[in-house]
Amino acid sequence: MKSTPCPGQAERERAAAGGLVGAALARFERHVETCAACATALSDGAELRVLREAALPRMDPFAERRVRAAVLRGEPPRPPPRPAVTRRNLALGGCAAALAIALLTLWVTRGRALEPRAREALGNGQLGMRSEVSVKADVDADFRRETLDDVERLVLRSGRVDIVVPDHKADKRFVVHTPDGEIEDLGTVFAVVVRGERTEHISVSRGAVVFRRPGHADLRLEAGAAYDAPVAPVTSAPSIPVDRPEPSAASAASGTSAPPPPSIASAPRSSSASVIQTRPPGGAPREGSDLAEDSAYLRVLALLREGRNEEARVAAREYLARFPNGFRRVEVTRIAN
Amino acid sequence: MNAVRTKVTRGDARSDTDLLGLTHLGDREALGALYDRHAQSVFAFARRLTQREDAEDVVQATFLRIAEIAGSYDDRSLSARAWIFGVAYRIVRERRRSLHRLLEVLRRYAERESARSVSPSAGAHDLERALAALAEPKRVVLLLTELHGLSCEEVARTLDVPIGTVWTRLHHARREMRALLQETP
Repeated sequence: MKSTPCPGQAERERAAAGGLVGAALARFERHVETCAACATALSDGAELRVLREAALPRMDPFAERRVRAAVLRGEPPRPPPRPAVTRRNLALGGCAAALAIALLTLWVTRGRALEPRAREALGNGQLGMRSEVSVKADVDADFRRETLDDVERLVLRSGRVDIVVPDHKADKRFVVHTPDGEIEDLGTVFAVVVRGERTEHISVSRGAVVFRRPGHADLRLEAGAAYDAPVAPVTSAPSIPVDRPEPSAASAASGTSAPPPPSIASAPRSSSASVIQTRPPGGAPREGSDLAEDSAYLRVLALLREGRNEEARVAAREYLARFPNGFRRVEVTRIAN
Repeated sequence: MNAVRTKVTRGDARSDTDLLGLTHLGDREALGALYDRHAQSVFAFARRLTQREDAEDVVQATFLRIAEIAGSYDDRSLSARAWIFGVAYRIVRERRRSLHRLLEVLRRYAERESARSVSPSAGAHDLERALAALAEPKRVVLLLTELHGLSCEEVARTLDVPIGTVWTRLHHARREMRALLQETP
């Protein structure tokens, strides 16, 4: 049983160093006799003291004299040693560098570095986008991918692509554009085939997609469902009129032709294709109507899809000027800026 | 001849404070006397913070620095011995480069891992490895108190840290040392 409270660390250290005398020392010793914790703490120190006395490193006499002479002559010592280039140091340095690079990458990508990236792709599609969407394409598939803010697009001109969207996010849309429509992912594993300028086949393995076409109601395809185009070719949908520049002499000479204009653009998630109207031939929609706003918006997207970014930006500014409270002003503002 | 001179200087009755005062006035003999008294202790201290060759350079740099700044020593605040250790520790830190320090940290980590499998019967060698496994702040406090006999108050002033920090570091250093030494493979 302890007769007195444990002394503080300071007093214990002082006692261990021989700093306690007289009554204080006697009191301390009486306490230690009855307190296992303090006795252990003191014995730790004693144990170390015994060990350290046997292991005191000493400068050898020659070195001692040499250093003494150098000190008295005022000679500076050698510069601090550089780390020796040993295999071990190289390995340690390599580890440190790799760690630093990994941390830097993580910092730069704001935590997105560890996300899986779409790497599996064949064909002539343009890849390199930071996305968790995995795309497998047939060798003859003609497609490209692009990201605009919160919408990631895959423009499929022909061929087959198999797509896995592992984690559907409400703020990140994934849309496949085909010549005659668009397929929006709703958390899906699905495949799309385009032949002859039309969507020939869609099959959904998991989740669901929405297939939108002009002049048709939205078609929602759940897991296990498939869509096959009717045997008779459908008439191509009217194009969004885009103020396309006249083909230059060079492009005409080379025989290259611009990709066909997109027939439909990404619609907001809540809208349907039936709402999206194209500009009727021979006349613009009435100013101030929903159609006019839709048309302006679709024109921006069509320009973007063709890679005419500067014109798209101008069109976006026009949209904002005409429809400052437009339904899609937020998205268009991003494009305009 | 050197041995005789060393013997004479080691028997010097002048205090460290006197010798530091004379050193400040440019007395090389006083500097030599200080060296003879404290060089081995400084070496032992530095050796446990650096490599052997570098420890000798630390000793040399420490006494050269002492010759430069001996006039700043104030015997009212700190013993000369503690002050000299403080100079030596600053030299050790100054001589480290950032890359070197990084490698040193990694090396310490590797040694710490290997130290966990050291038999307690290994004795002094075991102690060295256990010491090497301690983080430097704790090691410095342990060395200065246990090995070189400085009081915690002196260590606090030498390292310019609060006394409570010294006690805490010392406490943890002892516990870790005990644990490391008692671990069996």
